Amino acid sequence: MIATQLLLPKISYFSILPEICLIVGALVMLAMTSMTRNRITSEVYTGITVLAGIASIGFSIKNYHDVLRSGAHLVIDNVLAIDGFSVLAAILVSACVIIAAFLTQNFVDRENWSGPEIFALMLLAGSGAQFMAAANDLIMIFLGLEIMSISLYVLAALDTKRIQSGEAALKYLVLGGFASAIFIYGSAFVYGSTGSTNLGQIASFFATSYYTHNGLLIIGMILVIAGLGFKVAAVPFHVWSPDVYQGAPSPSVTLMSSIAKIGGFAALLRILMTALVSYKADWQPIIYILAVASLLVGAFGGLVQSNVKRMLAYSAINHSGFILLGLVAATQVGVSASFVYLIAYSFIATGVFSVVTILGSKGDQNHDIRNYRGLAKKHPYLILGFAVLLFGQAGIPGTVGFIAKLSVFQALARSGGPGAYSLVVVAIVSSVVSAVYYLRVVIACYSKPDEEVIIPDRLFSSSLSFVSPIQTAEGHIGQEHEGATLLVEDRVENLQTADEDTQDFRIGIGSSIAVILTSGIVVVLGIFPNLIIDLANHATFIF
Amino acid sequence: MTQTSFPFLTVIVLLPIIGGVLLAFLPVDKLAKYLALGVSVVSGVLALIVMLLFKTGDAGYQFVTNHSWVSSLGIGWHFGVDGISLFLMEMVALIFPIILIATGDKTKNNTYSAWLLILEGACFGSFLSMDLFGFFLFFELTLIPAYFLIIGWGGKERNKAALKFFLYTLFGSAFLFAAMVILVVIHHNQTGVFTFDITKLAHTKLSYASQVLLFLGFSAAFVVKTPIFPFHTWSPKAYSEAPTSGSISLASIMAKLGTYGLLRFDLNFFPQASYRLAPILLTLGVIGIIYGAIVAAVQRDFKRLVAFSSLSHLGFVAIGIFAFSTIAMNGAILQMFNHGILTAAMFLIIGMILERTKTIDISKLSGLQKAAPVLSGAMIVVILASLGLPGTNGFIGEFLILSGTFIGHRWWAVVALGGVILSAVYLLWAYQRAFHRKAEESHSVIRDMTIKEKLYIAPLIILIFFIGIFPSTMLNKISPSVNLLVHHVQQANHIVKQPAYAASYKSSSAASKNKHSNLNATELYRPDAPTSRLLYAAKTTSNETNLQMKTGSVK
Repeated sequence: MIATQLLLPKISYFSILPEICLIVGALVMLAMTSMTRNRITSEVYTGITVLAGIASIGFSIKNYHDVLRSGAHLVIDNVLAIDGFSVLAAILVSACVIIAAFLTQNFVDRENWSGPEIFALMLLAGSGAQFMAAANDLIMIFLGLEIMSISLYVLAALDTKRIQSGEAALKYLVLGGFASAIFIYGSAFVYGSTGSTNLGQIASFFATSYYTHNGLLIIGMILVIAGLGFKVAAVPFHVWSPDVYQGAPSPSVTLMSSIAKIGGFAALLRILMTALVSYKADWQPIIYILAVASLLVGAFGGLVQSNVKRMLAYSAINHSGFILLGLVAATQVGVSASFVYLIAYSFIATGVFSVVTILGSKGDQNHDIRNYRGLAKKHPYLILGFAVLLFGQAGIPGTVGFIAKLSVFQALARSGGPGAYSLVVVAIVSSVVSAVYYLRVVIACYSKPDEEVIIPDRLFSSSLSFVSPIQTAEGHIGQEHEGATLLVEDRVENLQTADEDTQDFRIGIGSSIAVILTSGIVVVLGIFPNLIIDLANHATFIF
Repeated sequence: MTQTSFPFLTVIVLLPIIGGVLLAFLPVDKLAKYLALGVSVVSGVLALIVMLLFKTGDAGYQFVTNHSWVSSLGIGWHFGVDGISLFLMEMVALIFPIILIATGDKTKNNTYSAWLLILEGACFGSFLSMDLFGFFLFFELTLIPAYFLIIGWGGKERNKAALKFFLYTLFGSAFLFAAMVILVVIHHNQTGVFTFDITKLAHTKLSYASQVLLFLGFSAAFVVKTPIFPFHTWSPKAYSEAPTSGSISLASIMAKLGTYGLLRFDLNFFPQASYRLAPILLTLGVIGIIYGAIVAAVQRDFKRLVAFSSLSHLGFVAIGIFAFSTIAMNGAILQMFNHGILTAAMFLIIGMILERTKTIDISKLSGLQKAAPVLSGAMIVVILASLGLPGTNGFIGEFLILSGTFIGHRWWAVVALGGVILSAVYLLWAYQRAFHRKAEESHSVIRDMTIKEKLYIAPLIILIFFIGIFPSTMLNKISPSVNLLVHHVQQANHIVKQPAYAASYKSSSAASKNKHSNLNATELYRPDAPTSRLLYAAKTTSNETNLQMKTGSVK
């Protein structure tokens, strides 16, 4: 009998210890819950999550030292790259998971959730994002993408008491599945035209061969960009994000807005800057258009929102546009700048959503800007942290948001490509426009409870039909045919009665840690930007 | 050049900021205002020492401290003071302690004092920074405390006013941000050095077209901040809705950030664009003077009146800057200081009136003079100084600006002169309505100035007369730097052929390393250039005649 021998690659487990830590953490929690009879408190889960995250950071730092000492290397049959970019991205992902875990602890207590699912899924999503950041193969990127996405779909659906959560998850699942399909379809085209899915081999293929007819490859490239563009919510692939952000439970959104962007951008940057870098002239215009569209839609779309989570979804779209600017530059400086922006944005976004989670109060429904009135009087330090984070989003000097914007602008201007200067101007205008809605939130918090908040004209917002199905569902489940104006009035009434008790909440220790940590980071890195700029200069790809 | 090893400027900038941040988090509600005052006074005293140690006759930067901050982006912790920024620093140092004394009543908690201190530090930082990034950082940082002062302690429509103020100025600075990045990148492409150091950036070679674009980008921020007509629409609302402290910081201090920016950056980096586009700025300045004065005359709200009168007075500063004569520019810098003092005094007195009568509607006030003679006396002094009565500081500033402008830009000066008369109209008319006439019942028994109020108004009144009588004490310190700047612009526009200080140059090793050796001739910011007042006098007159000949030949 002839035994066909299966060729298995040599797996260097040491290199993927950061990912393993997160996965083991998730498995331990699940096993523990099924094996013990007593109910395990959320503190234990949080502890395990944080420990797994810290261990993951520890091993990533070890990897980082290896990279600095002996250079970047490929492992496991060349599908994973251990280079500056991947290890730093892994550290960032773990940091976001840790912060989100602190926050989730208070959230699950408040909502009386039991069970380890949310923590386990957060860890799994984190490992997926780390795999995406390290993947050096289109298939591996797809695997990472799916690990992350499927975890996030479930995270969005976790709030079983609210119908909106299910709706958000369904939207995310259907559109996300579609995007994954588009990505793998594009990968097939790229494979068809180059004969490999390995990014390094694709790059070396282009180094030795030249296509006179490259239509197949271009189609593949566009599909890959579209698939990843969905994950990072770049316009025109953004339509899911406001609905999902609004409907999903707030801690899930915290994670969605940070690690999904890290993973997505890491993969996008790596594919375009390593494998397809010789086709720079072809993908640069596409990225240029995506950047401009994201900047403008993100800035102007957020103006008319009265739901803060929805508004922050547009803000996330806007930030995607900024991160894409580094890719438009298509230089190593640009990659570093994008990475600086990713670091800054991840901390700011986790911080802002932490505060939003706290302010959501029991039921996680309290997200209308009108409900924020007078909060500063009741929770001065929380709102101060919130203001710092929002100013960070707006890119006010003194916060890390400004440093991030400065980095991408200078990278873009230095690249000197066609339209670089005009893109800088578009980006700056967009940052000012988006500042409007950040400031509205700050003003609402600092106004008196009965004071009028500067909100968009009711007629304006309803006539543009920015009221989404979810918003309709929020007011009247099953009565979608109600007029929008009536709906708004009705909600205002509800909110006014709810105002008193929704603002009297206690801020848990976990949430406090999350907010203090992120707002502190935002200010400290804003004043001493050397720390991240130097790190980001090491965020290079192996090729 | 550092006279002493003590890092004066770093301490002056950082002390209020650190103090403010600490104050916000320390549980010292009652003590807060005294601590804040203490910090502010220490900074002020240090600023005073800097002025006393300041070498008169030195055109370059003094007390320079330069440390690397963000090495990879060429950003430095780089501070220095020269004749242009010296008195603006003094203005900040003087006015903030007064604000803290004057407005620290019971409704204000430690957050209030904290914001004021942070604002003070940010203002110091913007005036003293020699690094473009640092300037921008502090320039923007001023927005946040001002914004919180308005939304925290402002009037009825404070939310709208704060939002409008913040966004309008942020929109202006966005263009500054873009232009700044582009300028730095162009400099990087030319020299291979990525730096935000303004003395190095001044050597960037720019084509005329890019100078114009960058000039517009930089100016966008400054004309909004100043404000210069027609970018002033945020200011009346912001001034009138802000609390007294906010109005003073906005009008006396932060407005100067705009004119200072025009002076320091536009003229330095884009001398040709500044020179050729000057008629636009001059015209806007003159329109602002006349328009502001006319609109001020019909205001009923005292604070709005001051807002429009500020527009009018800052128009004078603008024409003083863009007349490109040393006399006018000296006047402009002096007038910036004067305006700071006068506006602060005016807002303080308006604050007192508001506190006593609960209104600052001019039509509802009447006969205050009988009830409060000292208060009225202080007000009339400030008003007379503001309309430029000889013997007061307002006269010196306006006279220098108008006479300097008249040399090169005759008709602008002639029209602007109308503003002086109009300012007498609206100020005296307002005074007459509010302070004369028969007192209304409710106003007939108001309290006069208390001792505390007299004490903090007194330094401002003394300064009004001191500068009015001995202006040379200030002008001697201002003029070397101004001469240098005017010369820089004239040389870039080939109005004068020979560099005035050519003989005194010592080419340092750093300069000789410069690839563009032909730029060394324009490297005028040499702090150790030996100078004498005689040389200035001679050079000033020669520059004026040159300018006159040039403009004459154009006509």
